[in-house]
Amino acid sequence: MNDPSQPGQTTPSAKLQTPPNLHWVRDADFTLVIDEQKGIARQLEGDAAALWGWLCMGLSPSQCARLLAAMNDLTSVDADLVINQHLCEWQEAGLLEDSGQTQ
Amino acid sequence: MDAITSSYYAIPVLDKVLIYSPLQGITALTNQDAARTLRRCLETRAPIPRQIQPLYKSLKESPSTLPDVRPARGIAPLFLGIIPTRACSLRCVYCDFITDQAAGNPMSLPMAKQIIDAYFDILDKEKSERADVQFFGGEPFYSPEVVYFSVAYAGRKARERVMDIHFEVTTNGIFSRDTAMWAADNFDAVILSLDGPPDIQESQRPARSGKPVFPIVFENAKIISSGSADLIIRSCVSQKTASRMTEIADWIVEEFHPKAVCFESVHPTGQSVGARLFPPDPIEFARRFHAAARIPEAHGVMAVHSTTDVSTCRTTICPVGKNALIVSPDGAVDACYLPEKTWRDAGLDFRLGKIHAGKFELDENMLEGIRTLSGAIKPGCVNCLCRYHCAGGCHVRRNGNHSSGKYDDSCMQTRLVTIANLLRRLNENDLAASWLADESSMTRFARRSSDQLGEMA
Repeated sequence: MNDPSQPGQTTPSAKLQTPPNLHWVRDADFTLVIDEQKGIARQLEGDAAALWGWLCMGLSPSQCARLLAAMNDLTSVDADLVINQHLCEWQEAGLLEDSGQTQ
Repeated sequence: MDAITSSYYAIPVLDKVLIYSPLQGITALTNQDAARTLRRCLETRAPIPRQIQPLYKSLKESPSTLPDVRPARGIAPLFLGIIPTRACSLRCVYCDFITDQAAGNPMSLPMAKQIIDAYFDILDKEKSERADVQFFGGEPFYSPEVVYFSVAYAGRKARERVMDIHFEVTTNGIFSRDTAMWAADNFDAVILSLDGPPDIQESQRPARSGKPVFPIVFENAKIISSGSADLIIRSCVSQKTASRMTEIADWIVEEFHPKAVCFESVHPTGQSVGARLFPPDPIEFARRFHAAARIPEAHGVMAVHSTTDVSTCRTTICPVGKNALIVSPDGAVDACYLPEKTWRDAGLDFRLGKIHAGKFELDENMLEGIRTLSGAIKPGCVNCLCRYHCAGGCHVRRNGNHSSGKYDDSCMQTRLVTIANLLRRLNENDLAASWLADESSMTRFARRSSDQLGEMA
C-alpha cells in the first residue's frame, strides 16, 4: 500500500504510508495485516477492516469519513475522530509510518 | 394411447436426429428410422424395438423438473440490485442506455443505506440465510463511493446475522488499479464488458474523453483475474467482429483465464445502426461460436451465449419475474435494470414500488403481474426446443409475439447455437460443425415451424 492516508483536520500533518515489509490479506470477516520483519500479525475487523480497505484504494480520510459517517449515523466530526483514532493506533503499532513528506 | 408430450423435441442433423427432452435433461442422437420408431412407440402401443428401449424407457420414466418459479407469496427477492448511477465513463457505439443529460444524480449514501436496511429487513422476515447484492449501471464505479459503502455496509449486516453474502458487479473496467485490487478481493463475481483486443475494444467501446482506455481495462482485468472474484468476460459481437470470435476467445482465455467467456450479438439500436454496427448473420454467428467455444471449454472455461445455456431450464432469462429488487439512484424499485424509458417505450411497466423511510413500498399486484408475464410462454416459442433455455429472451427487446415457427434472426441464432451446444455436450463436435456448414441443412432448418417430436416428418 502506498500513500494510504492523507492528513485531515484531526490527523497528523505528515503523509502516512505502510512500511514496505507489511502485507495484508482479506478474508470474508476480517483483514489480516502481517509485518514480516517483526513477525507479527494483526487482525482488523468491522469498520477498521473497511477503513483499511478504503485507504488502500487511495481514498482520503475525508472520503473515508463520509463513508463511515453514513454507515454509523455519525456526524462528520465524529467520523473524523474515529478515523484519526485508527490512524494513530495503526501508526503506533507500526502499520503506518511517516513517509517523510508533508502535504 | 400414450400421449406424446409437447416437450420432446427432434431435430434432423444431417443423416441423424437429435432427440431432446429439456425438462428431463435427456439428449440423444439417433438415426432417422430410430427417431420415427420412437415417435410411433410413444404415440401408440406399438412394440418397442430393443435398440430404442433404453431411450424410450428414459423418456417415459425419468422425472420432469419444471423450471424454478419464485414463490407466489411473499417477496423472497432473488437479489438486491443497486444502480449507483446511470452515468458512464464510456461512449460505447452500440449503447442506448441513457444520455448524460438523462442520467440524473448518482445515488446518495443515505439512500444506499436505506436500501440495504430494507433488503435485510425482508431477508430477516423471510428467514433467508443468504444475501445477494448486485451492482448495475450506467457504470457502477462511476460513483465508486456508493459501491465501496454498500459492500462494507451490506457485508457488516450479513456478518451480524452470520449470513452468506454474494456481491456481483457488471462493469466496464474503467477504474483505478487500487479499486481493481479491492474489487478482486471484495466481489464474488465481476462481469466485465471487454469486446476483444485493442482495435475492437477502442472502436466499439471508446471513452467519452476520446483517450485510449484499453490499457486500463486490460490491466484491471488482469488484476481481477488474479483475485478471488470470478471474472466473467462479456464480448459484444458485431458483423465486423464475428469472423474474429475464435481469436477473441483465444486471447481472452490466454490473457485472463476467466471463469466464463460470454459472446452476445450486438442489439440493434439507433446508436448501433448510426455507427454502422450490425448484428452478425445468425448462421455465421453460430458457426463462429461453435468454433470459438471449444477454446475456452478445452481450458475448463465456460463459453456462454446467454440465451443458449442448456445446463438449466428456466421460464425467464433475466431477473424479471424472479422478484429481484433493482433500485435506481432516486429510490425507484423495478424488476428490470434497463432504464425506465426503455421498458415503458416497449409498453411494459416494471415498476414495483419505491424505497421510503427505510422500507420497500412494493405493489404486490405488480409483483404478481410481472411474475405471470415472465412465466408465460410467448406464442412464437410454443414449438421451439429453446423455450426452456432462451425462454423468449429479453422481455423488453423481444416480445416473442410472432406466430409459432416464424423465427427472426435472433431466434435463428439462438436455435442454431442451442443445437450445436447440445451436440457438443454429446461430444459430437464434428457433426455440429458439419451440420452448421451444410447450407441445405441450414435452409431446411430455417423453414421448420415446429421442433416437436410429435410433428417430425
